[in-house]
Amino acid sequence: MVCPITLQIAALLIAAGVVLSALACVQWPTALLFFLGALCMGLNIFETYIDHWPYTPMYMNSRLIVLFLGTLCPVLSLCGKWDSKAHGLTIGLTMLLFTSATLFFPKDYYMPNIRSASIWSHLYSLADPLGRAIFIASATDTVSGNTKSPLMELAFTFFAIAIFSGMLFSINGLGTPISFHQPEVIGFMFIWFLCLLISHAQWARFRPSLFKALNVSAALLTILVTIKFDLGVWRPLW
Amino acid sequence: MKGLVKKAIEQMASLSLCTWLLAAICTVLFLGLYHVKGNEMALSSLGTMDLFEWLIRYETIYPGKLWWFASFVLFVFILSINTLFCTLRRIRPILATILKARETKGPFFKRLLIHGIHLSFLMITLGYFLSFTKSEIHPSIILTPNGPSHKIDEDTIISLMTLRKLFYKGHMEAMKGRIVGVDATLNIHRGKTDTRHVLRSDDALIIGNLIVSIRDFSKDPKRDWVKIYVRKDYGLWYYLSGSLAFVIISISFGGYGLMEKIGVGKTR
Repeated sequence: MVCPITLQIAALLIAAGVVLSALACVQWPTALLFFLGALCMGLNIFETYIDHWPYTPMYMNSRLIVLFLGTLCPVLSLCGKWDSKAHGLTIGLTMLLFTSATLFFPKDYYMPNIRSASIWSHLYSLADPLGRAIFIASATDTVSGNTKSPLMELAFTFFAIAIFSGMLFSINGLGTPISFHQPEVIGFMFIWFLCLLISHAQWARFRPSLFKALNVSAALLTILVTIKFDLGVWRPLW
Repeated sequence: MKGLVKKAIEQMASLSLCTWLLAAICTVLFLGLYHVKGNEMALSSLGTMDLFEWLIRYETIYPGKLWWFASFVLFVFILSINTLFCTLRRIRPILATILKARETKGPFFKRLLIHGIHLSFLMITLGYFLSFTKSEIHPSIILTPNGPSHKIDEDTIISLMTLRKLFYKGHMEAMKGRIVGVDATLNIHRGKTDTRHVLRSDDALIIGNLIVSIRDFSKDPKRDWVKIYVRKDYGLWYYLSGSLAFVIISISFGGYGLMEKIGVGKTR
């Protein structure tokens, strides 16, 4: 059983960061609060991995996205790309949403998938949420006015790694390169095609406002689809 | 007539067609997310039969439930043609410029990487198409140690030599003492040679274009049997090499984009 205290501290730290961002009176402390929240989430993830080892824990995308988004905050801050109001509110609210979903609707009542003890399964389970986190962050970049965010190319790269490792995971476990009967696989394909749509729309002659709207909608749909599969029943972890 | 063909080719290679197709694919997949539940059996049988046969059979049994999947296949097919035309139309001038200028950096190199991604995407879709239309599938072969062998094709015969059950060794109390996998030693007779291979529940065997994987096994300590799934996959090497190329080129593309933004390698 994984201790929920790290989740609770993560939620509090991220909520404090969101409040500071809303006040917009400070720059780097918000990024630091998000990073500390991500560290607590990292501890929770580490504990879950130890609990499930050698199998890959399931329904981890929300938690891993919080870890990756929170780690990205100080990086953006150090690169001088941190806009407290835009990044702080959008990234912070996304992190808070995912953390609250995990805290109030945990999906931790399952037997491990006995086919998931392979390196490909572990790689897929990390590359997929990393791609999703960077894809969401790239939409935040677009909101701040950067319509050709390098984060989009990075998200594409991690999705490519997830496709390759997911394919090998499927071949090794089920003997087929893809299994269409699993909603999670359809969800991943949906997000990947969304990423392709946005990266092609960058080059098409869209009005900047339309492109921004498209990118933000794609990020919101990514959040929606990710939460949909990681949501359990109402069972607050107090 | 020539002008009409040229215009059609330009339309087929256009970025706007690609964007609309991607939007259509996203829409059908999003709707599909809400149609997967309740249709898992139908969708999982895609792993045991030919795609066209599957489409005809299940579209008649479940009309209105799997239309999204048929639309997805159709849109991906058109997208592949669009990608092919796009690359064929644009790669020649890019290659000519790069070879003329002898440069391995700059915007032209980045465009070349994009077409490399396109070509590897086409390899993957071709591989999947061959895999889901041409594969010879044996979905459920039950083998017992030193029991009867199973003929896969004219050349290949599979039999089970030994079976070793694997117990859970992790930290979860609820799983302790459970049989979670097997090591199955198979004898595979191909042509005139016999070879022995160890097959595990999470590690399939790939020999040529043959994929052998474990679908199920006896969890009863007193009984020994294993159910294997054999797929003679004619698209295997296309989608494997395509996806490997896709990863390598995508990493180069992502890394190149990042270095470009940071300013690494820029000359004055």
